Amino acid sequence: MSKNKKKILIVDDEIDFTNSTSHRLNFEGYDTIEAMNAEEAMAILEKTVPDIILLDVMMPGMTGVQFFEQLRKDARFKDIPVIFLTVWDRLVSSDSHGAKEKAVLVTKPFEFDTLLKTIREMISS
Amino acid sequence: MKVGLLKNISNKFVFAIVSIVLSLTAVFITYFTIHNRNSLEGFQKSVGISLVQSMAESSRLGLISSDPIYLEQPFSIAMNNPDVEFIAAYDKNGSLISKTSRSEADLVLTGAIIARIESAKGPFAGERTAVAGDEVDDFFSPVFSEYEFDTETEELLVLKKEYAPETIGRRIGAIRIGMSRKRIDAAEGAAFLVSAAMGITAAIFAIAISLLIASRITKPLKALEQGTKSVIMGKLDVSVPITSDDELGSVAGAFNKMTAALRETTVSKDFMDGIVESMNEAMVVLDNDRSITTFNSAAEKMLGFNVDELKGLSVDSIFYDPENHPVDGGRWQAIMANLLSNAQTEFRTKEGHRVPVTISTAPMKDKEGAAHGVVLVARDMSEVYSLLDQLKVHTAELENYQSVLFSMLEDNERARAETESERAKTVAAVESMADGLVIFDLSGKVLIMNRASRAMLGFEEDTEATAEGIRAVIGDAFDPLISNAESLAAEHFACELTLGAERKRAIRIEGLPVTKGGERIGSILVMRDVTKQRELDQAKYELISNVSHELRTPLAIISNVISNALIGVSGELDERLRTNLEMCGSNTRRLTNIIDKLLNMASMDKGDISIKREMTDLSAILKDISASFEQEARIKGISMSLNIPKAPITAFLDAKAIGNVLLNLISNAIRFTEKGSVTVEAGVKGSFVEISVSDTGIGIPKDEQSLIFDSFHQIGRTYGPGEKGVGLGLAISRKLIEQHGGSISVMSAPGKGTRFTILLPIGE
Repeated sequence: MSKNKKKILIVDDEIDFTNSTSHRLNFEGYDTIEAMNAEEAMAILEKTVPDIILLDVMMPGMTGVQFFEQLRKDARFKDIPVIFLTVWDRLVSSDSHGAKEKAVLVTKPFEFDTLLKTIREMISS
Repeated sequence: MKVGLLKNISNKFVFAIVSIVLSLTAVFITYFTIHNRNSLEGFQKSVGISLVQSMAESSRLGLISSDPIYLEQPFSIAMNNPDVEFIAAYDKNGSLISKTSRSEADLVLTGAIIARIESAKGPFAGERTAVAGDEVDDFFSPVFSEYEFDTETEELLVLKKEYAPETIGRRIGAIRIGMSRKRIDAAEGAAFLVSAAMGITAAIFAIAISLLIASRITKPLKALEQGTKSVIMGKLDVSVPITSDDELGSVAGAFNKMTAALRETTVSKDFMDGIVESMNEAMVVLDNDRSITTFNSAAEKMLGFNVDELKGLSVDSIFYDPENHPVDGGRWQAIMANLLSNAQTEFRTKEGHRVPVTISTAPMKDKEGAAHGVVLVARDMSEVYSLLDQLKVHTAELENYQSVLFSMLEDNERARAETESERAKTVAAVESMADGLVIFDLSGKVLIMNRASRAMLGFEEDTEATAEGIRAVIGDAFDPLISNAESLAAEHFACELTLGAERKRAIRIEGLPVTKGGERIGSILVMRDVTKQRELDQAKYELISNVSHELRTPLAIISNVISNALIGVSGELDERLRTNLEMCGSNTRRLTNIIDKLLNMASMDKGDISIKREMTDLSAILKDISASFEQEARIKGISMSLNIPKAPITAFLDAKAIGNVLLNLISNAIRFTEKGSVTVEAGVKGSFVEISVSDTGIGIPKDEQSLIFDSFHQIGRTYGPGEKGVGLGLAISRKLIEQHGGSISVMSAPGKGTRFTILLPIGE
């Protein structure tokens, strides 16, 4: 893991999804950390702060939205950009997740180039 | 004599007689002046001559036919003159036909004198024509003879004879009048009063005569006037001027024919023929064998036979029923006895047509009174009968109309009864309907509010059904419907409300104008409890949504894996594997598209509407969406094109909402187009962006074009049940567009295509 590599936390209960996404991001030059649920992700955050979080919405236990709200309450993590990755596009298309809050929505399935473009934009802003 | 007043024979007679009266009056005036016996004698003479001449005139028929019956009338008139002692009429041979004289009591002359006068040499000696060298008495008849009776010798002395001047011809008979001069003698002393009385009497008698003649003798026979006088005088080579075109004129014509023919044939026959010819009525003369001997041209015309055909035929052959008619063998004796005269029957024409006629019959008798035939006069009644027939037809028509009228009235009554019972049935049916129904009249008053509608709107049993009450529950959106009473294109109203306990009932309410025969008669609200439907919609949405999302996760993984493999995350690929993976990739995208559309449809059906506007690249959205339909269009064989300006169009809008609208429009366009193209165009128009989706499909019927944006309206249900489920698409589209402050409209020609146009504001 090189120091200048951007670190991406992927939170998703679908292991095949996190794996395939992780493979591609690694191939594209990113470091990735995978979490199967919100609790696991929170534990990871205590150790390391990623440059961006790819967050599934529907997960067993704490949902992606609840995790996000908790994240934004914590001063340490409130500036980490979040990309919601969800099949439930309409559920989160509310006002609370604008560009100002460094959170965008990408609907699964997605064209990987779109995701990469979004990641680059979110990290650089 | 062409004066209108004198066109009638009767009037002419009156005129003639009145002239005589006037001349008589003139004679009296002369008498008053001269006042002597001579004038009295002269007066009596002229009276006598006038009298005998007028008698000769009115006795013609009697003289010709030798029938005393025709003489009765002129005799009795002449006897009114008190000086007339006796009258005698002789036929052409000098034989006495008839005579009359006063009764013994009234007689002035003695019977002996009369006998002597009668036995004196006859008025003329036999039938003959004057020849050169005739003695006056041999041929001419004296028209005036003056006798003196010697009471001692009882000799009748001829004092004076006067002859009618200048007339010459053939005699048809003679009239002899004997007049007493005793009255003149007696009046000699008191001439004045008596003469005056006589004059007045004569005048009255003359007027009476004129009136009698005028009223009684209406046949053309009496029109012979001066000509006949000449004939009586025996001068037969005369003609009368034809001065008028009335009966008199035609009879005069006949008379002239007669006089011309008199020399060659018997007088009576030709004379009759002439008269008969001039008649308008058909006249047929039968002999004793009931064979036709003579007929006139009217008969010829009526029957269609010509002279040769008819003569000698049995009379039976001119009647429609030859065995039963008024002149048939069975009735012949009665006719001969003058017992039958008038009857109605039918002639048969030569062509066999019927001619309705009224006939009169009379026996013809010779001078001895023996019948030698029958005269039959027939009047054509066709016209009269045809008028009667027409009358019958009209009467029948009237009766027909009357019966039609009655039956109409009955029908009307029946129809009213039926209407009443229909109405009762309708009301009962409306009451028992599961759907709510409220009927308003033109003034917006509630006529019917059925049980279901009361339940749906939560009306209590005793709540009065009023528009206000309904408005309190469903709001005022239906006001334009019931208030625009005159408008045929009244507001179509539709809404869906959640009503009832805990607002759990979904009630769909539609308002429609009610028209009858093109006239607005009221409005109705139809309410349907669509709770079940909405629950099903929700369940459907949830199912589709869940399935779609469940599918999206594995699709995302597959998509990732394929993408990774193709990009070379797991190392280089051989060409065949790459091709296969690319195929997998494109079909994954296709599957994703299908699921996206499915989700969109489901969410639109559910009616989720909320927009979030931001500056958006509309061009990109248009490109993405039209690209997503390209494959579907290609499969259907439709060309899909997108015409947008090179410079990207950006506008302040909810990309997802507008995307859904376009998705809906384009998918409809493809669905309803079998050949041709679907074209998406966009461009900036002032402060708006205009987007249009046009197709060359089946189009939308004109009457549906205004309704397609209404909720629950399904374009052309004829597309089949499989198409159901997009009924909300256009309604939601309109709501989404309107929330953007824009508008959507449609133009369509059935069979040619449809074009939807969206106008959206570019800025905030």
